[in-house]
Amino acid sequence: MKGLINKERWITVVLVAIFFLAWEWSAGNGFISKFIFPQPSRVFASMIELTASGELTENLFATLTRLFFGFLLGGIPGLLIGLFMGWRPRIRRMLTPVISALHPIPKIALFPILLVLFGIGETSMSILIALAVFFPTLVNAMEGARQINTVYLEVASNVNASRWLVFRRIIFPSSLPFVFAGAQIALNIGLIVTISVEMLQGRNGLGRMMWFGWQMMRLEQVYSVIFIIGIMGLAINALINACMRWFAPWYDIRGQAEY
Amino acid sequence: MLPYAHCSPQCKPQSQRMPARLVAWVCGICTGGTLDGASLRDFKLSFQVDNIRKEFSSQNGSVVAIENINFLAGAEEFICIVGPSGCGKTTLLKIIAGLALPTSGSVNFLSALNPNQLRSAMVFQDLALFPWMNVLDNVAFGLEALGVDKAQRRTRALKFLDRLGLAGFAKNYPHELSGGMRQRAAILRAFLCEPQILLMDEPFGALDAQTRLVMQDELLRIWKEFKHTVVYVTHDIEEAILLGDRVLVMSGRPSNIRADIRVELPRPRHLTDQSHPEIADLRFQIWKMLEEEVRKEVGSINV
Repeated sequence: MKGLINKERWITVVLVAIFFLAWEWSAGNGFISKFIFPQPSRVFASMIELTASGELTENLFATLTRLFFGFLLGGIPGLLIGLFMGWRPRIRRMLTPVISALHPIPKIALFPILLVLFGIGETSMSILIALAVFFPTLVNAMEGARQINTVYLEVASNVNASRWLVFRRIIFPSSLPFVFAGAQIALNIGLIVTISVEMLQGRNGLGRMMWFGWQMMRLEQVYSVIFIIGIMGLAINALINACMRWFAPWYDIRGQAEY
Repeated sequence: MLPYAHCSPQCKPQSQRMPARLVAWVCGICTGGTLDGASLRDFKLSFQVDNIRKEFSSQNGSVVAIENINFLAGAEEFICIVGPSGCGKTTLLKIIAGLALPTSGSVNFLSALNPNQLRSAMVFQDLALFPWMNVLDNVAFGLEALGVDKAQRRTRALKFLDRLGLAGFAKNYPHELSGGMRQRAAILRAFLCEPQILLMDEPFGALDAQTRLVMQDELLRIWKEFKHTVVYVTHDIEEAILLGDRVLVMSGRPSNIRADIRVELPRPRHLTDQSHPEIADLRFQIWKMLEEEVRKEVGSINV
């Protein structure tokens, strides 16, 4: 199994390498515009330059901080409300229409309202990111709590377990795989919204850097940031996998077995 | 081998508030004197199932799962319930456990409960070990719910895990255990909280024949030690004869108790034991009763 995974990894690496080599070669030969599609080697050089000057690290840190606080601010309420909605059908019936109506609203469209409410600054940005993170976290946590086999709840009520014990020992841990899947979606959406909002308003951050690259017509800077964002996506994936292995080692990816 | 008269469906249900001793006396009469005066005085009752009826309603109308269920269970009695599949054995067990409410009738518990003692604990058909907890936490869950502190939970659980050959697996997850081990863990979770009544819903149904024999043996050893009242649901006639002090035979839907058979065989029992020809008789007797029901069931499928 492990060998198979490694083999598949290598195929991915080779395919990506071919893509970059083709890009490098066609931009160098003038098949595609060097200006619009600067060669990967030039993007890479600009990345090193930006790192050396400290600009990239600083902006990356600013983006990560915003994402982190926004994620906590939206994720924790989303998690709790979602679990309760999944656990208690009456709460679910009560709140589902509200959630369904609010979910599709483009969160970035609420930014002007937040600016009026909280002023220009980190508060409105964090709240916007939190709003974006809230919904996917909630929906997944709800599904996680809903899919619990009722026999587990019967076991608990058979021994007169308190509600707090049921939540702590059954609802919460058994939902974890779904919660992590939700966290992955939420982090990615959160990152999208963070970068978008930085383009609009940030003093710093990766979004600002990209916008700056466009304004100065330094497209290799834009590409650098895009590459960095891709690497962040890989990191999010690795983080979630690690969490899954650490906090839910019992979970088999092929589906939850019942015992 | 005498049927309890009060358990036949024709019999009037016992009054709900009847004192335990009086009920015991009636019970003694009903057993046709199986219990003599002395043992009657020692005969403690555990609970009474009083005229239970359960109806499930759906969009296509309602179905009566069980009706007219009456029986008395003595403390320290091992009662097996056999019946055709889908006859409501699990429903009855859940009603006794308090996990489901009967449409009418009641379960009356006739013995005092110590503080912090559970009235009943159930071993579920599909075991229902929590996949996200290790074996130790799984078996100690009942104690945790009872408010036993962590250190004590640990010592008590480990003591029995050791006895059941699971000590090395305390930190493992259920999916890492064999079927027999999981079974033992599930049973241990129920009896570790020392309930008054142990309810078991075909706990060995998924095991292979050899493992099942060993597990039945272990179960009897545990029971001899703790002396709970056991209600054991099975579809296996031989298992019922092997384990039970009494075998209640249920009919098909709407099901009631067709017969209440006392198994007067010395323990330990072995099905292959040639010295007890009664075993074969019993098996035949129960099978005759069930055969009719099963044929009805199969016939209705063919139609």
